[in-house]
Amino acid sequence: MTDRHNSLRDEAIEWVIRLGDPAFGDWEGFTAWLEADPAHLAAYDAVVAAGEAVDPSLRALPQTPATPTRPETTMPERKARARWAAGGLIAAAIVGGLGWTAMNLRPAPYAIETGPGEHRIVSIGTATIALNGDTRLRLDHHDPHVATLERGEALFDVRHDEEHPFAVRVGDDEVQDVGTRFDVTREGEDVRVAVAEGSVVYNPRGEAVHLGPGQQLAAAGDASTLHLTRTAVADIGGWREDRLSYEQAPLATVAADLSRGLGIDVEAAPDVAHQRFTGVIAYGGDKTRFLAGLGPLLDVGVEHGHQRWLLIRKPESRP
Amino acid sequence: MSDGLQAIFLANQPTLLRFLTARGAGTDAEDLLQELWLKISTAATGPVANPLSYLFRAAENLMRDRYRATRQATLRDIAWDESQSPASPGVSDTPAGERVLIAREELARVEAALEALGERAREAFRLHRIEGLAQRAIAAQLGVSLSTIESDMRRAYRAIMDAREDRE
Repeated sequence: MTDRHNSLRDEAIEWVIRLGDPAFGDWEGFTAWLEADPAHLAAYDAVVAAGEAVDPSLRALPQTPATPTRPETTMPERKARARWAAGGLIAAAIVGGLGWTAMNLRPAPYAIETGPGEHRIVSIGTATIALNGDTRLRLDHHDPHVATLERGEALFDVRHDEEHPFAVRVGDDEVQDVGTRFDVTREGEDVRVAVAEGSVVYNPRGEAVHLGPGQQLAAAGDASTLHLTRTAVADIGGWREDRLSYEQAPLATVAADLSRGLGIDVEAAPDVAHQRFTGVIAYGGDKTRFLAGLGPLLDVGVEHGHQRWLLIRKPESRP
Repeated sequence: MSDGLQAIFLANQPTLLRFLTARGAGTDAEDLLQELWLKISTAATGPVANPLSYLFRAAENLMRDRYRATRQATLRDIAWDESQSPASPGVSDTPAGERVLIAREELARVEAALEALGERAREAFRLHRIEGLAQRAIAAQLGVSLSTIESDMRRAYRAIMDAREDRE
Protein backbone atom coordinates (compact mmCIF):
# COMPACT_ATOMS: atom_id res chain seq x y z
CA MET A 1 0.00 0.00 0.00
CA THR A 2 1.28 3.45 -0.86
CA ASP A 3 1.43 6.40 1.52
CA ARG A 4 -1.03 8.26 -0.69
CA HIS A 5 -3.44 5.35 -0.54
CA ASN A 6 -3.17 5.21 3.24
CA SER A 7 -3.58 8.92 3.87
CA LEU A 8 -6.55 9.02 1.50
CA ARG A 9 -8.04 6.06 3.31
CA ASP A 10 -7.47 7.66 6.73
CA GLU A 11 -9.20 10.85 5.58
CA ALA A 12 -12.16 8.81 4.33
CA ILE A 13 -12.27 6.92 7.64
CA GLU A 14 -12.36 10.25 9.55
CA TRP A 15 -15.38 11.36 7.54
CA VAL A 16 -17.20 8.06 7.97
CA ILE A 17 -16.65 8.25 11.74
CA ARG A 18 -17.77 11.88 11.88
CA LEU A 19 -20.90 11.19 9.83
CA GLY A 20 -21.65 8.27 12.14
CA ASP A 21 -22.37 10.80 14.87
CA PRO A 22 -26.11 11.52 14.80
CA ALA A 23 -25.37 15.17 15.52
CA PHE A 24 -22.97 15.60 12.58
CA GLY A 25 -23.49 19.00 10.97
CA ASP A 26 -20.47 19.87 8.83
CA TRP A 27 -22.07 19.00 5.49
CA GLU A 28 -20.44 21.95 3.82
CA GLY A 29 -16.99 20.74 4.85
CA PHE A 30 -17.83 17.22 3.71
CA THR A 31 -19.02 18.47 0.29
CA ALA A 32 -15.84 20.51 -0.10
CA TRP A 33 -13.69 17.48 0.72
CA LEU A 34 -15.53 15.34 -1.84
CA GLU A 35 -15.16 18.04 -4.49
CA ALA A 36 -11.46 18.55 -3.82
CA ASP A 37 -10.43 15.28 -5.53
CA PRO A 38 -12.49 12.64 -7.36
CA ALA A 39 -10.47 9.96 -5.56
CA HIS A 40 -12.03 11.09 -2.27
CA LEU A 41 -15.45 9.72 -3.22
CA ALA A 42 -14.10 6.29 -4.15
CA ALA A 43 -12.14 6.09 -0.90
CA TYR A 44 -15.20 7.16 1.08
CA ASP A 45 -17.51 4.67 -0.65
CA ALA A 46 -15.00 1.89 0.07
CA VAL A 47 -15.03 2.65 3.81
CA VAL A 48 -18.84 2.87 3.89
CA ALA A 49 -19.05 -0.49 2.09
CA ALA A 50 -16.53 -2.07 4.49
CA GLY A 51 -18.57 -0.81 7.45
CA GLU A 52 -21.81 -2.20 6.04
CA ALA A 53 -20.14 -5.53 5.27
CA VAL A 54 -18.99 -5.91 8.86
CA ASP A 55 -22.34 -5.01 10.44
CA PRO A 56 -23.79 -8.55 10.36
CA SER A 57 -20.69 -9.85 12.18
CA LEU A 58 -21.00 -7.08 14.77
CA ARG A 59 -24.67 -7.87 15.32
CA ALA A 60 -23.76 -11.52 15.88
CA LEU A 61 -21.14 -10.72 18.52
CA PRO A 62 -21.70 -12.25 21.91
CA GLN A 63 -22.41 -9.12 23.84
CA THR A 64 -20.36 -8.79 26.95
CA PRO A 65 -21.75 -6.71 29.77
CA ALA A 66 -20.01 -3.37 29.99
CA THR A 67 -18.42 -2.41 33.30
CA PRO A 68 -18.45 1.36 33.31
CA THR A 69 -16.38 3.12 35.89
CA ARG A 70 -18.74 6.06 35.85
CA PRO A 71 -22.38 5.81 36.81
CA GLU A 72 -24.85 6.04 33.96
CA THR A 73 -26.83 9.21 33.71
CA THR A 74 -29.16 8.74 30.76
CA MET A 75 -32.04 6.36 30.29
CA PRO A 76 -31.32 4.91 26.82
CA GLU A 77 -27.87 3.73 27.88
CA ARG A 78 -29.12 2.00 30.99
CA LYS A 79 -31.68 0.14 28.91
CA ALA A 80 -28.95 -0.96 26.52
CA ARG A 81 -26.85 -2.32 29.39
CA ALA A 82 -29.63 -4.53 30.67
CA ARG A 83 -29.84 -6.10 27.21
CA TRP A 84 -26.12 -6.89 27.18
CA ALA A 85 -26.22 -8.51 30.56
CA ALA A 86 -28.72 -11.03 29.21
CA GLY A 87 -26.51 -11.63 26.17
CA GLY A 88 -23.51 -12.29 28.36
CA LEU A 89 -25.39 -14.88 30.37
CA ILE A 90 -26.45 -16.83 27.28
CA ALA A 91 -22.93 -16.79 25.91
CA ALA A 92 -21.54 -18.08 29.20
CA ALA A 93 -24.04 -20.93 29.27
CA ILE A 94 -23.01 -22.06 25.79
CA VAL A 95 -19.33 -21.96 26.64
CA GLY A 96 -20.00 -24.00 29.74
CA GLY A 97 -21.78 -26.64 27.66
CA LEU A 98 -18.90 -26.98 25.25
CA GLY A 99 -16.39 -27.36 28.04
CA TRP A 100 -18.30 -30.28 29.50
CA THR A 101 -18.50 -32.16 26.18
CA ALA A 102 -14.82 -31.69 25.49
CA MET A 103 -13.75 -32.98 28.90
CA ASN A 104 -15.95 -36.04 28.64
CA LEU A 105 -13.56 -37.97 26.42
CA ARG A 106 -9.95 -38.74 27.19
CA PRO A 107 -8.04 -39.37 23.98
CA ALA A 108 -6.40 -42.76 23.42
CA PRO A 109 -4.65 -42.34 20.08
CA TYR A 110 -3.09 -45.02 17.90
CA ALA A 111 -1.69 -44.97 14.39
CA ILE A 112 -2.14 -47.10 11.27
CA GLU A 113 0.58 -46.92 8.68
CA THR A 114 1.18 -48.35 5.20
CA GLY A 115 4.51 -48.68 3.43
CA PRO A 116 5.06 -47.41 -0.12
CA GLY A 117 2.98 -49.42 -2.58
CA GLU A 118 0.92 -51.08 0.18
CA HIS A 119 -2.87 -50.76 0.45
CA ARG A 120 -4.91 -51.40 3.58
CA ILE A 121 -8.54 -51.12 4.68
CA VAL A 122 -9.70 -50.38 8.24
CA SER A 123 -13.15 -49.90 9.76
CA ILE A 124 -13.91 -47.67 12.72
CA GLY A 125 -17.31 -46.56 13.95
CA THR A 126 -19.37 -45.43 10.97
CA ALA A 127 -16.41 -45.28 8.59
CA THR A 128 -14.51 -47.66 6.33
CA ILE A 129 -11.17 -46.23 5.38
CA ALA A 130 -8.94 -47.39 2.51
CA LEU A 131 -5.32 -46.33 2.95
CA ASN A 132 -3.11 -45.73 -0.07
CA GLY A 133 0.64 -46.46 0.07
CA ASP A 134 3.02 -44.46 2.28
CA THR A 135 0.15 -43.20 4.41
CA ARG A 136 -0.14 -42.60 8.13
CA LEU A 137 -3.52 -42.23 9.81
CA ARG A 138 -4.02 -41.47 13.50
CA LEU A 139 -7.19 -42.83 15.13
CA ASP A 140 -8.57 -42.80 18.63
CA HIS A 141 -9.84 -45.82 20.61
CA HIS A 142 -12.18 -43.56 22.60
CA ASP A 143 -13.52 -41.56 19.68
CA PRO A 144 -14.50 -43.56 16.58
CA HIS A 145 -15.73 -40.43 14.78
CA VAL A 146 -12.45 -38.76 14.09
CA ALA A 147 -9.37 -39.60 12.04
CA THR A 148 -6.23 -37.55 11.46
CA LEU A 149 -4.41 -37.95 8.16
CA GLU A 150 -0.76 -37.28 8.99
CA ARG A 151 0.50 -37.99 5.49
CA GLY A 152 -0.50 -39.77 2.29
CA GLU A 153 -3.97 -40.51 0.96
CA ALA A 154 -7.10 -42.25 2.16
CA LEU A 155 -10.59 -42.87 0.82
CA PHE A 156 -13.35 -42.54 3.40
CA ASP A 157 -16.70 -44.31 3.14
CA VAL A 158 -18.90 -42.88 5.85
CA ARG A 159 -22.39 -43.84 6.89
CA HIS A 160 -23.77 -40.58 8.13
CA ASP A 161 -24.80 -40.39 11.77
CA GLU A 162 -26.52 -37.13 12.64
CA GLU A 163 -25.48 -37.40 16.30
CA HIS A 164 -21.85 -38.15 15.54
CA PRO A 165 -20.61 -36.61 12.31
CA PHE A 166 -17.34 -38.10 11.17
CA ALA A 167 -14.45 -35.65 10.95
CA VAL A 168 -11.13 -35.99 9.16
CA ARG A 169 -8.36 -33.70 10.34
CA VAL A 170 -5.57 -32.82 7.96
CA GLY A 171 -3.01 -30.48 9.48
CA ASP A 172 -4.99 -27.52 10.71
CA ASP A 173 -7.87 -28.32 8.37
CA GLU A 174 -10.91 -30.42 9.03
CA VAL A 175 -13.29 -32.23 6.69
CA GLN A 176 -16.65 -33.21 8.09
CA ASP A 177 -18.87 -35.73 6.39
CA VAL A 178 -22.51 -35.18 5.67
CA GLY A 179 -22.92 -38.90 4.70
CA THR A 180 -20.53 -39.77 2.01
CA ARG A 181 -17.52 -41.19 0.22
CA PHE A 182 -14.54 -38.92 -0.16
CA ASP A 183 -10.80 -38.99 -0.72
CA VAL A 184 -8.28 -36.95 1.26
CA THR A 185 -4.61 -36.46 0.39
CA ARG A 186 -1.90 -34.83 2.41
CA GLU A 187 1.38 -34.11 0.70
CA GLY A 188 3.55 -32.09 3.07
CA GLU A 189 1.36 -29.11 3.96
CA ASP A 190 -0.79 -29.38 0.83
CA VAL A 191 -4.23 -30.87 1.23
CA ARG A 192 -6.62 -32.21 -1.43
CA VAL A 193 -10.20 -33.32 -0.84
CA ALA A 194 -12.35 -34.98 -3.54
CA VAL A 195 -15.96 -36.05 -3.02
CA ALA A 196 -17.40 -39.11 -4.81
CA GLU A 197 -20.79 -39.33 -3.08
CA GLY A 198 -22.81 -37.23 -0.67
CA SER A 199 -21.11 -34.12 0.59
CA VAL A 200 -18.54 -32.89 3.06
CA VAL A 201 -17.83 -29.60 4.76
CA TYR A 202 -14.24 -28.42 4.60
CA ASN A 203 -13.23 -26.57 7.78
CA PRO A 204 -16.74 -26.31 9.30
CA ARG A 205 -15.51 -23.77 11.84
CA GLY A 206 -13.45 -21.83 9.32
CA GLU A 207 -14.22 -21.33 5.65
CA ALA A 208 -17.05 -23.91 5.88
CA VAL A 209 -16.87 -24.87 2.21
CA HIS A 210 -19.49 -27.44 1.18
CA LEU A 211 -18.25 -29.91 -1.41
CA GLY A 212 -20.62 -32.10 -3.39
CA PRO A 213 -20.07 -35.07 -5.72
CA GLY A 214 -17.39 -34.45 -8.32
CA GLN A 215 -15.95 -31.46 -6.53
CA GLN A 216 -12.33 -31.33 -5.53
CA LEU A 217 -10.69 -28.79 -3.29
CA ALA A 218 -6.96 -28.11 -3.11
CA ALA A 219 -5.46 -26.09 -0.28
CA ALA A 220 -1.79 -25.22 -0.53
CA GLY A 221 -0.17 -25.10 2.89
CA ASP A 222 1.62 -21.82 2.23
CA ALA A 223 -1.09 -19.94 0.35
CA SER A 224 -4.32 -18.46 1.60
CA THR A 225 -6.36 -19.42 -1.48
CA LEU A 226 -8.38 -22.58 -1.96
CA HIS A 227 -8.92 -24.03 -5.42
CA LEU A 228 -12.15 -25.74 -6.39
CA THR A 229 -12.17 -27.93 -9.48
CA ARG A 230 -14.39 -30.62 -10.97
CA THR A 231 -13.33 -34.20 -11.20
CA ALA A 232 -15.07 -37.28 -12.58
CA VAL A 233 -16.83 -39.06 -9.71
CA ALA A 234 -15.91 -42.52 -10.99
CA ASP A 235 -12.20 -41.66 -10.85
CA ILE A 236 -12.14 -40.73 -7.15
CA GLY A 237 -10.34 -43.42 -5.23
CA GLY A 238 -9.16 -44.96 -8.52
CA TRP A 239 -5.77 -45.53 -6.90
CA ARG A 240 -7.24 -48.63 -5.27
CA GLU A 241 -7.33 -50.22 -8.74
CA ASP A 242 -3.92 -48.77 -9.61
CA ARG A 243 -5.54 -46.06 -11.66
CA LEU A 244 -5.01 -42.34 -11.37
CA SER A 245 -7.08 -39.71 -13.11
CA TYR A 246 -6.23 -36.02 -13.50
CA GLU A 247 -7.70 -32.81 -14.71
CA GLN A 248 -5.03 -30.14 -15.20
CA ALA A 249 -2.91 -31.49 -12.35
CA PRO A 250 0.67 -30.29 -11.88
CA LEU A 251 3.23 -33.04 -12.53
CA ALA A 252 4.55 -32.60 -8.98
CA THR A 253 1.20 -33.96 -7.77
CA VAL A 254 1.20 -36.79 -10.32
CA ALA A 255 4.75 -37.79 -9.28
CA ALA A 256 3.80 -37.81 -5.60
CA ASP A 257 0.74 -39.98 -6.31
CA LEU A 258 2.81 -42.41 -8.37
CA SER A 259 5.43 -42.69 -5.61
CA ARG A 260 2.71 -43.54 -3.14
CA GLY A 261 1.03 -46.08 -5.41
CA LEU A 262 4.08 -47.76 -6.88
CA GLY A 263 6.29 -47.73 -3.81
CA ILE A 264 9.06 -46.28 -5.97
CA ASP A 265 10.38 -42.75 -5.59
CA VAL A 266 9.17 -40.66 -8.55
CA GLU A 267 9.98 -36.98 -8.67
CA ALA A 268 9.24 -34.12 -11.08
CA ALA A 269 12.25 -31.91 -11.84
CA PRO A 270 11.65 -28.22 -11.05
CA ASP A 271 11.33 -27.23 -14.71
CA VAL A 272 8.39 -29.63 -15.25
CA ALA A 273 6.90 -29.66 -11.73
CA HIS A 274 4.23 -27.09 -12.73
CA GLN A 275 3.53 -28.59 -16.16
CA ARG A 276 -0.12 -29.72 -16.30
CA PHE A 277 -1.45 -33.16 -17.08
CA THR A 278 -4.97 -34.25 -17.97
CA GLY A 279 -5.72 -37.92 -18.42
CA VAL A 280 -5.75 -41.33 -16.82
CA ILE A 281 -2.71 -43.35 -15.77
CA ALA A 282 -3.06 -47.10 -15.12
CA TYR A 283 0.03 -48.41 -13.37
CA GLY A 284 -0.64 -52.09 -12.74
CA GLY A 285 1.80 -54.68 -14.01
CA ASP A 286 5.54 -54.38 -14.42
CA LYS A 287 6.65 -51.23 -12.64
CA THR A 288 9.95 -50.68 -14.44
CA ARG A 289 8.40 -51.07 -17.87
CA PHE A 290 5.53 -48.78 -16.81
CA LEU A 291 7.89 -46.03 -15.66
CA ALA A 292 10.10 -46.34 -18.72
CA GLY A 293 7.05 -45.84 -20.93
CA LEU A 294 5.60 -42.97 -18.92
CA GLY A 295 7.39 -40.19 -20.85
CA PRO A 296 5.11 -39.94 -23.91
CA LEU A 297 1.96 -40.01 -21.76
CA LEU A 298 3.07 -37.15 -19.55
CA ASP A 299 4.93 -35.36 -22.34
CA VAL A 300 8.21 -35.42 -20.44
CA GLY A 301 11.51 -37.24 -20.46
CA VAL A 302 12.06 -39.96 -17.85
CA GLU A 303 15.43 -40.48 -16.25
CA HIS A 304 16.20 -43.56 -14.18
CA GLY A 305 18.45 -42.30 -11.41
CA HIS A 306 20.14 -44.21 -8.64
CA GLN A 307 17.29 -44.51 -6.16
CA ARG A 308 14.52 -42.75 -8.03
CA TRP A 309 12.85 -41.91 -11.31
CA LEU A 310 13.02 -38.31 -12.41
CA LEU A 311 10.54 -36.60 -14.75
CA ILE A 312 12.46 -34.05 -16.82
CA ARG A 313 11.77 -31.80 -19.77
CA LYS A 314 11.59 -33.68 -23.09
CA PRO A 315 15.10 -33.82 -24.53
CA GLU A 316 14.15 -32.42 -27.95
CA SER A 317 12.29 -29.47 -26.46
CA ARG A 318 15.29 -28.32 -24.45
CA PRO A 319 16.81 -25.02 -25.54
CA MET B 1 -43.96 17.06 5.80
CA SER B 2 -43.82 20.24 7.76
CA ASP B 3 -43.89 23.46 5.81
CA GLY B 4 -40.67 24.40 7.57
CA LEU B 5 -38.80 21.46 6.06
CA GLN B 6 -40.27 22.19 2.66
CA ALA B 7 -39.17 25.79 2.84
CA ILE B 8 -35.67 24.76 3.92
CA PHE B 9 -35.49 22.31 1.04
CA LEU B 10 -36.48 24.93 -1.51
CA ALA B 11 -34.11 27.48 -0.09
CA ASN B 12 -31.20 25.03 -0.15
CA GLN B 13 -31.76 23.26 -3.45
CA PRO B 14 -28.46 24.41 -5.00
CA THR B 15 -26.46 23.29 -1.94
CA LEU B 16 -28.17 19.90 -1.87
CA LEU B 17 -27.67 19.50 -5.61
CA ARG B 18 -23.99 20.31 -5.21
CA PHE B 19 -23.72 17.76 -2.43
CA LEU B 20 -25.45 15.01 -4.45
CA THR B 21 -23.19 15.68 -7.43
CA ALA B 22 -20.04 15.48 -5.32
CA ARG B 23 -21.40 12.43 -3.51
CA GLY B 24 -21.40 10.44 -6.76
CA ALA B 25 -24.77 11.22 -8.37
CA GLY B 26 -23.04 12.90 -11.31
CA THR B 27 -25.50 13.73 -14.07
CA ASP B 28 -28.32 12.01 -12.14
CA ALA B 29 -28.11 14.63 -9.40
CA GLU B 30 -31.27 16.45 -10.56
CA ASP B 31 -33.28 13.21 -10.61
CA LEU B 32 -32.02 12.27 -7.17
CA LEU B 33 -32.92 15.68 -5.81
CA GLN B 34 -36.44 15.01 -7.08
CA GLU B 35 -36.41 11.60 -5.42
CA LEU B 36 -35.24 13.22 -2.19
CA TRP B 37 -38.10 15.68 -2.39
CA LEU B 38 -40.62 12.85 -2.81
CA LYS B 39 -39.06 10.94 0.04
CA ILE B 40 -39.27 13.74 2.56
CA SER B 41 -42.75 14.71 1.29
CA THR B 42 -44.16 11.26 2.02
CA ALA B 43 -42.23 10.49 5.19
CA ALA B 44 -44.08 11.16 8.40
CA THR B 45 -41.69 13.37 10.27
CA GLY B 46 -42.15 15.06 13.56
CA PRO B 47 -40.46 18.32 14.39
CA VAL B 48 -36.88 18.26 13.13
CA ALA B 49 -34.22 19.83 15.32
CA ASN B 50 -31.92 20.78 12.50
CA PRO B 51 -33.85 20.72 9.22
CA LEU B 52 -30.93 21.36 6.89
CA SER B 53 -28.82 18.66 8.50
CA TYR B 54 -31.83 16.36 8.30
CA LEU B 55 -32.05 16.95 4.54
CA PHE B 56 -28.35 16.31 4.04
CA ARG B 57 -28.61 13.13 6.07
CA ALA B 58 -31.49 11.95 3.90
CA ALA B 59 -29.42 12.72 0.79
CA GLU B 60 -26.46 10.80 2.21
CA ASN B 61 -28.68 7.76 2.90
CA LEU B 62 -30.13 7.97 -0.59
CA MET B 63 -26.61 7.79 -2.05
CA ARG B 64 -25.64 4.88 0.20
CA ASP B 65 -28.73 2.94 -0.91
CA ARG B 66 -27.95 3.68 -4.52
CA TYR B 67 -24.33 2.57 -4.22
CA ARG B 68 -25.36 -0.67 -2.50
CA ALA B 69 -28.04 -1.40 -5.11
CA THR B 70 -25.59 -0.83 -7.97
CA ARG B 71 -23.04 -3.16 -6.40
CA GLN B 72 -25.60 -5.88 -5.80
CA ALA B 73 -26.87 -5.60 -9.37
CA THR B 74 -23.31 -6.10 -10.60
CA LEU B 75 -22.85 -9.17 -8.41
CA ARG B 76 -26.15 -10.63 -9.66
CA ASP B 77 -25.03 -10.21 -13.28
CA ILE B 78 -21.88 -12.18 -12.53
CA ALA B 79 -23.85 -14.92 -10.80
CA TRP B 80 -26.22 -15.13 -13.75
CA ASP B 81 -23.37 -15.44 -16.26
CA GLU B 82 -21.87 -18.27 -14.27
CA SER B 83 -25.13 -20.16 -14.02
CA GLN B 84 -25.25 -20.12 -17.83
CA SER B 85 -21.79 -21.60 -18.25
CA PRO B 86 -21.67 -25.32 -19.02
CA ALA B 87 -20.89 -27.49 -16.01
CA SER B 88 -20.09 -30.62 -17.98
CA PRO B 89 -17.87 -33.19 -16.26
CA GLY B 90 -14.22 -32.42 -16.54
CA VAL B 91 -14.79 -28.73 -17.11
CA SER B 92 -13.30 -26.63 -14.36
CA ASP B 93 -15.62 -24.34 -12.45
CA THR B 94 -12.70 -22.73 -10.72
CA PRO B 95 -13.67 -19.09 -11.30
CA ALA B 96 -17.11 -19.44 -9.66
CA GLY B 97 -15.79 -21.58 -6.85
CA GLU B 98 -12.91 -19.28 -6.17
CA ARG B 99 -15.12 -16.23 -6.01
CA VAL B 100 -17.25 -17.85 -3.34
CA LEU B 101 -14.15 -18.89 -1.47
CA ILE B 102 -12.65 -15.43 -1.72
CA ALA B 103 -15.84 -13.96 -0.24
CA ARG B 104 -15.73 -16.51 2.56
CA GLU B 105 -12.07 -15.88 3.16
CA GLU B 106 -12.66 -12.17 3.21
CA LEU B 107 -15.40 -12.61 5.79
CA ALA B 108 -13.11 -14.83 7.84
CA ARG B 109 -10.35 -12.21 7.62
CA VAL B 110 -12.72 -9.39 8.60
CA GLU B 111 -13.96 -11.41 11.58
CA ALA B 112 -10.39 -12.21 12.59
CA ALA B 113 -9.61 -8.48 12.37
CA LEU B 114 -12.57 -7.72 14.67
CA GLU B 115 -11.35 -10.40 17.06
CA ALA B 116 -7.84 -8.93 17.04
CA LEU B 117 -9.18 -5.48 18.00
CA GLY B 118 -9.70 -6.53 21.57
CA GLU B 119 -12.87 -6.45 23.56
CA ARG B 120 -13.21 -2.75 24.31
CA ALA B 121 -12.45 -1.47 20.81
CA ARG B 122 -14.74 -4.11 19.34
CA GLU B 123 -17.58 -3.17 21.66
CA ALA B 124 -16.99 0.53 20.97
CA PHE B 125 -17.13 -0.20 17.26
CA ARG B 126 -20.37 -2.14 17.70
CA LEU B 127 -21.96 0.71 19.65
CA HIS B 128 -20.89 3.11 16.88
CA ARG B 129 -22.04 0.95 13.95
CA ILE B 130 -25.06 -0.91 15.32
CA GLU B 131 -26.45 1.24 18.12
CA GLY B 132 -25.52 4.47 16.35
CA LEU B 133 -24.21 6.11 19.50
CA ALA B 134 -22.09 9.26 19.38
CA GLN B 135 -18.46 8.78 20.39
CA ARG B 136 -18.97 10.82 23.55
CA ALA B 137 -21.82 8.53 24.61
CA ILE B 138 -19.70 5.44 23.86
CA ALA B 139 -16.88 6.86 25.98
CA ALA B 140 -19.28 7.43 28.87
CA GLN B 141 -20.79 3.99 28.48
CA LEU B 142 -17.48 2.15 28.45
CA GLY B 143 -15.93 4.41 31.08
CA VAL B 144 -12.98 5.59 29.00
CA SER B 145 -11.90 8.92 27.58
CA LEU B 146 -13.22 10.33 24.32
CA SER B 147 -9.76 10.24 22.76
CA THR B 148 -9.51 6.52 23.53
CA ILE B 149 -12.77 5.90 21.68
CA GLU B 150 -11.63 8.07 18.78
CA SER B 151 -8.51 6.01 18.44
CA ASP B 152 -10.50 2.76 18.78
CA MET B 153 -12.72 3.86 15.88
CA ARG B 154 -9.79 4.64 13.59
CA ARG B 155 -8.11 1.39 14.48
CA ALA B 156 -11.29 -0.59 13.82
CA TYR B 157 -11.91 0.93 10.38
CA ARG B 158 -8.27 0.54 9.38
CA ALA B 159 -8.32 -3.10 10.46
CA ILE B 160 -11.44 -4.00 8.46
CA MET B 161 -10.15 -2.09 5.44
CA ASP B 162 -6.85 -3.96 5.65
CA ALA B 163 -8.71 -7.25 5.91
CA ARG B 164 -10.77 -6.46 2.80
CA GLU B 165 -7.90 -5.08 0.73
CA ASP B 166 -5.63 -8.03 1.49
CA ARG B 167 -6.93 -10.02 -1.45
CA GLU B 168 -3.79 -11.61 -2.77
